[in-house]
Amino acid sequence: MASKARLGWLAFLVAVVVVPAVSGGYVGHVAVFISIYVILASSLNIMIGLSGRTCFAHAAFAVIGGYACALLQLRLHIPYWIALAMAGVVTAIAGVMLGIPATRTRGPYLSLVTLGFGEIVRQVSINAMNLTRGPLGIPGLPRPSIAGRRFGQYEMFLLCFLTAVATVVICSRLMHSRFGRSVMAIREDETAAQAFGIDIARTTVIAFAVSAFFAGIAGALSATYLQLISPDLFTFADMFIMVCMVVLGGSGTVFGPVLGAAMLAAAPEMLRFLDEYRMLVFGALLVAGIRWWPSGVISKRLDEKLLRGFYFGAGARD
Amino acid sequence: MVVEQVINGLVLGGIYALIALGYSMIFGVLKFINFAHGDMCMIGGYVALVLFARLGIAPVPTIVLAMVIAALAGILIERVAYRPLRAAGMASTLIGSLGVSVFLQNFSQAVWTADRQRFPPMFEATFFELGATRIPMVRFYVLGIVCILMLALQMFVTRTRTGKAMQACFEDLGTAQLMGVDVDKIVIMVFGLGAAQAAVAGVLLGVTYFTVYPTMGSFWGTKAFAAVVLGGIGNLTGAVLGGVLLGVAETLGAVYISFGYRDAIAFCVLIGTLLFKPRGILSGKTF
Repeated sequence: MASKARLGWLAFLVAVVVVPAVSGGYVGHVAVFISIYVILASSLNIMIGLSGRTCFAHAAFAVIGGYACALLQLRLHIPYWIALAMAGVVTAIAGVMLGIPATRTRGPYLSLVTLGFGEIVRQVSINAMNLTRGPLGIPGLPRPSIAGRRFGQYEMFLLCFLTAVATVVICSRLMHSRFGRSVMAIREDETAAQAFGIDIARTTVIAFAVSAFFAGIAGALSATYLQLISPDLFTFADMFIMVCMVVLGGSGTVFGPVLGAAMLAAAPEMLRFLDEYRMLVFGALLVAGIRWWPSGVISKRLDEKLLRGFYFGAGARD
Repeated sequence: MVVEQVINGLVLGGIYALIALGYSMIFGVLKFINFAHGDMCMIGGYVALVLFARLGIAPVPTIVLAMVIAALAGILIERVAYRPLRAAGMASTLIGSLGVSVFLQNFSQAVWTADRQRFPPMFEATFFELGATRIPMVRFYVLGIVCILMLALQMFVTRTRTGKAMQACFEDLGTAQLMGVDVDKIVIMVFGLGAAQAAVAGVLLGVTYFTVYPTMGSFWGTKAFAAVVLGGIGNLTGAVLGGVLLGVAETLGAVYISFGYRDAIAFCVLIGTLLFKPRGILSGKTF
């Protein structure tokens, strides 16, 4: 069983790394964006799946990460790799700033606070001309290089892919850690969690920060890949799609958001033959999909099974 | 100048309130945010465009027909997309509504293109003279229509048997069902009424801003959602209060503080309010 699962995962990983290298161009471009969306959906899952809070701030977090990465390099001349990490830290700080008022609210009130946060970030990025150049955005961001070789599309894909794998691994470890269990306990019953000595405000704010950190990295990566950062890097529509990725894939699972991101990032591309009816059909498919899988494609049980294979049969959680 | 801006704010707030009532009713009964609700106002706008501008039907029948068509659309959407998901929880229904919203916006884009369509003036361009300022009479017509609709809904909900059944569903859907309330009927009614009110808002947006476009529903719908939350969700008076407050604050903020940061100001005020009243201004009451 374990060796079969190991072979399956290995074959999958090799295929994912080799296919964009062979086909390049357009497929490579889609592969980069799937990887970036895997990071975004996995980090959003910390909010929706673990914390049970439907959060609409991840497009804004990604935009903040993108601007942070760009401005740190262009204004302060910080090397790329440090700027990338700092973009995550800056976004995590923004996550704390949102988390503090957001912990007091739940349900639709929280949804509105996070939506409002997104709108505030968007308007600041459009209007703060001397910092962001407004709607024009900042073009010509340099891509990183290793040993004198500038990153092309495939190297960018590898970078995004490895970051995505790291994000998924960290998120899965987080879910089963003391911290993850505290977050879930708060979701189930705040009073009971408090009685067990869990600091509700602190835990929730940390969950926001961790979630925002990965979203910021994803935003920085996509700005680097496109070599452009503008307020439209991730829009409201993209953010709604991110929420769909998590819920349709299976919120609260490790692989649900991954599958959701792959499906929903690839679907509009696969529907290109429909021309102007593309998004019309996409909307209808979304409704059909959630009717078909009301609690997500990947169930908790299937997720456990996949996870056991992912860790090569060893150290599986039960 | 100030009077004119306050009236502009009231008009905007009244339109928000019309959309907000639907959000609030749907949340009150089913406890989910219907992200496709704003698109009902887009449907109203386009129906009015076809009936009034293309076919030359008079204003009042246009508004009534827009209400009927949007109500039918709302009921159909509930039947197809939300009812099968009612047991699956709020997050799944929310995804259903996002899918419906994507579908509707791209539907109108496929039929009428993504461009803004000019909405011809529905009323004569007469003005109300107040000292040096001239206020278009249209503003008052819009306010009048908004007030009539809100009063009608208020009467319906508080005075009729069905309205009282609806209030019972706001309180507790399960218990209302046990008391013999036909919950499916109430849900259909809530979707129909909400969509009809939003459709009028769409027509009035066309009348006020002379334009309709495919994403108008999500644009104005988000604002109306903010208004509902500000007032206290599931509370109909709160929806109206939130709408009017938001409309006036936004209009005055745009004129006297900064036009570019108009929505950012509105949302900062909102988040600030929620810090002190986490469940909206009129929390805890239904009416």
